[in-house]
Amino acid sequence: MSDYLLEMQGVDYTYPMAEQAAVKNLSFRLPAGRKTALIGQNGCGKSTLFLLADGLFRPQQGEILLDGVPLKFDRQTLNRWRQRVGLVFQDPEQQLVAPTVESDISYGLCNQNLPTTEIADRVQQTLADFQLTELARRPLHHLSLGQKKRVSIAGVMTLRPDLVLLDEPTAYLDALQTKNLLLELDSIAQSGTTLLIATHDLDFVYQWADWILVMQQGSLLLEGETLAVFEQLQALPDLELGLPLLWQVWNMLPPAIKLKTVPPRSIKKLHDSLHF
Amino acid sequence: MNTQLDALAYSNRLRSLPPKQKLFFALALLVTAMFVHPPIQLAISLWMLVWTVFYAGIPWRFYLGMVLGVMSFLLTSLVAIIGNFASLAPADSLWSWPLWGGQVYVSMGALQQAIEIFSRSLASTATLFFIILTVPFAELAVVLEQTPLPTILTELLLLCYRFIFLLAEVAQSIAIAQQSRGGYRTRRLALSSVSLLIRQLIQRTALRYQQIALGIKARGFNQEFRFWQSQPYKYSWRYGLESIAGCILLIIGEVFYRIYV
Ligand SMILES: Nc1ncnc2c1ncn2[C@@H]1O[C@H](COP(=O)(O)OP(=O)(O)OP(=O)(O)O)[C@@H](O)[C@H]1O
Ligand SMILES: [Mg+2]
Repeated sequence: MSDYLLEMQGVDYTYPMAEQAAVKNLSFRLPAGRKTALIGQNGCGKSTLFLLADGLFRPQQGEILLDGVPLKFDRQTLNRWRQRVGLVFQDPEQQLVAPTVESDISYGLCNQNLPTTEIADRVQQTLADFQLTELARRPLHHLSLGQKKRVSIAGVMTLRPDLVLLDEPTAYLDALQTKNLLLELDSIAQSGTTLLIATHDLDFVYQWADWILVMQQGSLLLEGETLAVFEQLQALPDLELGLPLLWQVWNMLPPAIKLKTVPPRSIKKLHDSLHF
Repeated sequence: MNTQLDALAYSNRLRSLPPKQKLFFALALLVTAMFVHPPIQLAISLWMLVWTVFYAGIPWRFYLGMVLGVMSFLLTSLVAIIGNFASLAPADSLWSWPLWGGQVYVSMGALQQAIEIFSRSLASTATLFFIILTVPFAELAVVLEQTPLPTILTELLLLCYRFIFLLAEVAQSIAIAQQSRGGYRTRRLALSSVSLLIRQLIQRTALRYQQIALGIKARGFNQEFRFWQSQPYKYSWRYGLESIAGCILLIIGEVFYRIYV
């Protein structure tokens, strides 16, 4: 296995009938086993990148590679590719197909032709992991948006992909469910799964991610370690992406009261880094 | 599809009974209702009412509303069967009224026929509503899958089921958006709002379709729609015995009716 799991080289994609390319000469490499965040303004091409990465759109130019192997667009390759790369859409309605919660979570497993007992076990386990056991037999159209979002994430995670692309996973979730999701994502990351999350929540990115990709108008602007990327973003105020609150607070504090030089990435660390 | 109806099917008190038990019971009653006489058919209707309203806990107002809704359709067509028109009503007619120089009359035969149709329809409506209100559609589909029906049919039914609610949600959200901005204030506005709604609905449905096709592919679509569902059903001896004993009583009743009436 190479150090980079997913890679794009000079990828172009223009939607049918669109005037401008949604993704233009996009190249990046995603380190394996990392918690990666994808940030950028509305309409910069994040969701399009995900659809390309899952082989749902065919790039007009360039190549997409997984473990160094380029994606081919025949059915067999695509099926295997999608078993390894899981995609959670921005809008949960888009990927929920079955009538009830438990049957929807089973859908991807059934597609892999697993034995019924294994499907049953995995569904029960996933329901428990995502606090969905009580909703198991409820029809999807009786759920709230946040609950649907959790079901859609659970339906992908149950397949244990190597790479999971999550488009705005915390959208519609309340504070408790956001916290639960983060814990769940951390344990998924610990098991060696690579995560790539598109989001506008920079405070979340700052605390959670250890690698960041920044997109602008369909191309890659920056990539690197979290602190290094925010360092560079600070120098680019015109981009108007904003900066994480903790980062701003840290930079406003007088150096005299700081115990450390590395910016802290949680409230607790901030507290431990100051002397009062 | 009526969402309240659907919600009741998912939350009624008989949901834990195996769908097969309920389906078999209803089917047996439906077949019985086809062959027995009106008093027995009325007994079946009442019995189904007990199951639906008392055992399953379906609100009786909702239930009666549904039954009356269907039966009122039927009643209007029964009028045409009961009423006959002739220049002179036959001597054995029950009632007659003069009309347009002739007579409208009700004959014994026509009345009997109408009662038969009425009680038979009432019994079949009641058994059908029992199934609709106590078995969620998804569980019905699982039973259908075990029948010799082609799987493509049950898969299509399941997908349609999901789509219907998606569409209903889209339509509702457009209507609410229009209302909140005063789109239905006057009759004229309402008319143009409705036409806008329909056009939007068609466009958005096409878009939804494309999006869901992507979603289905992303989840590894494999030429088939297959799901797994847990089956935490509990067969109930109490209900099982009541349904068997009840059916036997109905048949005995029918035999007595044929002998003595
Ligand atoms: N179906 C489509 N047809 C034509 N153009 C599209 C379509 N979907 C997206 N676009 C355009 O492609 C560009 C990239 O869209 P994309 O959805 O990838 O952005 P995004 O970064 O995910 O934005 P957001 O943060 O709002 O989710 C946008 O300019 C958008 O207008
Ligand atoms: Mg997006």
